[in-house]
Amino acid sequence: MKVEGLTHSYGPVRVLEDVSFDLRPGEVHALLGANGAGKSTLIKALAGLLSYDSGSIEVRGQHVPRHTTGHALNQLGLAFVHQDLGLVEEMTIAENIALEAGYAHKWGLIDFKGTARAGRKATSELGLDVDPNAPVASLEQDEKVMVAVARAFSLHARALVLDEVSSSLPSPEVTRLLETIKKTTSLGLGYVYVTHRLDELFGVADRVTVLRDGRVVLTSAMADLDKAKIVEAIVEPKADPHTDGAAVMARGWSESDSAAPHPPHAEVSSGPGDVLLDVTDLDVRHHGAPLSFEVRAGEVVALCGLIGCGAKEVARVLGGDLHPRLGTVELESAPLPLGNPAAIRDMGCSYVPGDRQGEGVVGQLSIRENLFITRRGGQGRRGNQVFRVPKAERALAQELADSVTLRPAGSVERPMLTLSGGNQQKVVCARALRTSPRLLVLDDPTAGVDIGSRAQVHKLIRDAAAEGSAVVFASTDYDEVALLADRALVMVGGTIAAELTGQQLTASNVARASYGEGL
Amino acid sequence: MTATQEQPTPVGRDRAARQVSFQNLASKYGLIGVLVIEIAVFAYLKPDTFFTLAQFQSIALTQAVVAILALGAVMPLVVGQFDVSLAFQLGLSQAICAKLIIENGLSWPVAGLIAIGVGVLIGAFNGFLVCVIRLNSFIATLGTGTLVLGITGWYTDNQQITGQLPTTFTDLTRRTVADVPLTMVYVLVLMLVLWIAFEYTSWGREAHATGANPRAAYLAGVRVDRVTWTCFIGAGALAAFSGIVSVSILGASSPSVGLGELLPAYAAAFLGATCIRPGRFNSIGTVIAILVLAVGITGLQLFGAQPYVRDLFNGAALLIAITFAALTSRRTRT
Repeated sequence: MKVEGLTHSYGPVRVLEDVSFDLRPGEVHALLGANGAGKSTLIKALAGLLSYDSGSIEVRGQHVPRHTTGHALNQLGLAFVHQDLGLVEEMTIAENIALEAGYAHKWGLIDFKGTARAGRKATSELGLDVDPNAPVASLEQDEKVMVAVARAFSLHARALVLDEVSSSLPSPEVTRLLETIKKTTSLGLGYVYVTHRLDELFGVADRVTVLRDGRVVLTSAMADLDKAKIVEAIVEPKADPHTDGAAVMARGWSESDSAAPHPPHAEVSSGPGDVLLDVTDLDVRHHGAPLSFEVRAGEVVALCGLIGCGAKEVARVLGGDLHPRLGTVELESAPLPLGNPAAIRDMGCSYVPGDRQGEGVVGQLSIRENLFITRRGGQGRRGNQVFRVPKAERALAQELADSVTLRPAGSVERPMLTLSGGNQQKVVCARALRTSPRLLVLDDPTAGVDIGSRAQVHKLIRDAAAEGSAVVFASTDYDEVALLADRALVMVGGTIAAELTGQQLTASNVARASYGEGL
Repeated sequence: MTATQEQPTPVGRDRAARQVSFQNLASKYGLIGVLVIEIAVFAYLKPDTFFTLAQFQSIALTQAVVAILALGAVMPLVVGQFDVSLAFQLGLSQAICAKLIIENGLSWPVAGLIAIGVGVLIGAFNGFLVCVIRLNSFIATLGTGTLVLGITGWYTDNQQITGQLPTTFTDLTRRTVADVPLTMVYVLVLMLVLWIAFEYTSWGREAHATGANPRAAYLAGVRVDRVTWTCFIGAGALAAFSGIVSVSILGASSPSVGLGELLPAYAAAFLGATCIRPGRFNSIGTVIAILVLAVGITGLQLFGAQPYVRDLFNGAALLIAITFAALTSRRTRT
């Protein structure tokens, strides 16, 4: 497989720039890069889901036209295995393979014996020792990945893209998976292996390509590299996002944001408040080490790291959405009723969930109703209101909408779904802040949010901290972390690997720490 | 980012606003328009038989039971759940009420309270199945409903219960106040209570949020299960009340009465969701829908229509209304 000069822009932002990349038969080629470096965009382009601006893709010497997807792509020899694998858990291995490759037929009906035979052939060719009549649900995770590979192989795919398939696997299974993969390369199978875990590559990958800001910054044989070199290539070699204004602007920061009325790191030294939030021995994974941290009043703490590092889970625990296996969380010495969002809200904690459409807004209800969705009027239960007077509410809602500069300006009686994503997020934030929470938890608050709304959301977060709230937000955007947070907790594999404050808190230091490297 | 850039010129905005507000009015009050047209047409064609006080009183009397049942159906619908056991609950409440008064000689307020108590219990049980066991509400209430039907048959030996009812009890529905039938007063009062509960209280807001996006509501701090549970209980109580009203009107209970009311009640609830607050189940819309259906059917029957016209009319009206609503909401969204 060969990719040449692939370029793509979203509006003014170049997400891929002249990316060239090739995969030889029998090779494991690791594709690396930080969050937002362009890996997913590249994979989307390969999968035919993106109409890239220029460049070309070839498989086995044949040009692949744009928008070639699914079966047509498999026929050319290219297949994808994504993190969710796309297997039907309740069906057998043979049936899962047959769903794509076609069932064996006899007299016009499905021949299950023949289907099982085909399934056995497909799996045994790859050296898998599994019963084709076993349901997929009964397999170990690494075996499931290999079933997905076998399915692609039986469709004559010889170049496989494994997209973060290891991120949800415990290490022993990852080792086993990689061993199997390595063995199958002797059949002429080539793998593009996308991952965040650098350690697993050694001994498996033949070559490495690193993307950064949509450009290939490194392609090299694995033998010539060590971990430190790879991390340096992934991490931007820039000192401080505040001095490096051009890079910040390129990422889509608005003027008003960089000129926001705060030097974020100064606030800690100007006297932090008392400890509000105390997290002890929290375990968000079933195999991770527990983590502990504190947050003071008026402090903005970022939980960050690579996708899958556990930062999101910690935010969800604090929001009440997730009940951790172990650990306690205390708010001013009172235990937080974990796993019970309503009780946590009653204690004066607000939460802005990560999935805006699915978890944040109620699309059919009006902006006003979304702002006043619960009976809570202020902290605790005292402010609870039984009756709602729409007229009074409307005035308050209008005030709130104006304070977050909701666009387009207009009636707060419009249904929520008429607003853009960014403006919906402003409403969700305004709702979270309306009750002056003691603790504000946000999960990736600016994901998929336009520049203007992003600046507004950042301002709301800083304002909340200035009024004495303890703020915790999870983010995978390191520039945002560096700009917004007083302190960053960098997570690796479900636990805190580094704590960055003050001058040390830069996007590149966060990135370095997220790969488990020292500063 | 400046405000002036994003707003259209005043003239354009006015025109757009006028267009939008006309569309709004049409979808909000369209069903009322249909009702007015219906009445006008039948009054013109049959002034002597249709446009009479007796005819309106008769509609108010015959539609009271299904109207109360429909208001009951609205409650779980708002939180995104179905309760198909309501018609069977109506039957049981009828049986309890009639048997306690006629055979056990209890006074009607006591019998009524017991019937409503049983309705509340069944509603609570439905809520338990949906909120605690986490069953699909349609299937769970289908099970409860069938169970309730069996209990009714067992309790009444599948016989009609007839006998002397106290006139104070039958007067509850057969009297009029200034020519307005009391049954109509009950329906209107219940309608207003539900309207206030769903539109003017935090509980109602939470119920609407639960129905539209349960996950967002849950994370925002709505006690989703509690709200859902109360809606099932309310629905049970209303179904029981409709049973009592039915006994008072008919002077008897019959094991078969009530089952036929399930589909008309749901038709009215869905039809009602296309007006007043389009896209939302609401009590005022539901009562208007009941009237639209009842007036249409009564009018057609004056022209000699057969009883099956009721089902034809209910079904056709529902399909037309929801198709229309789906098409307009698709147009406004794009």
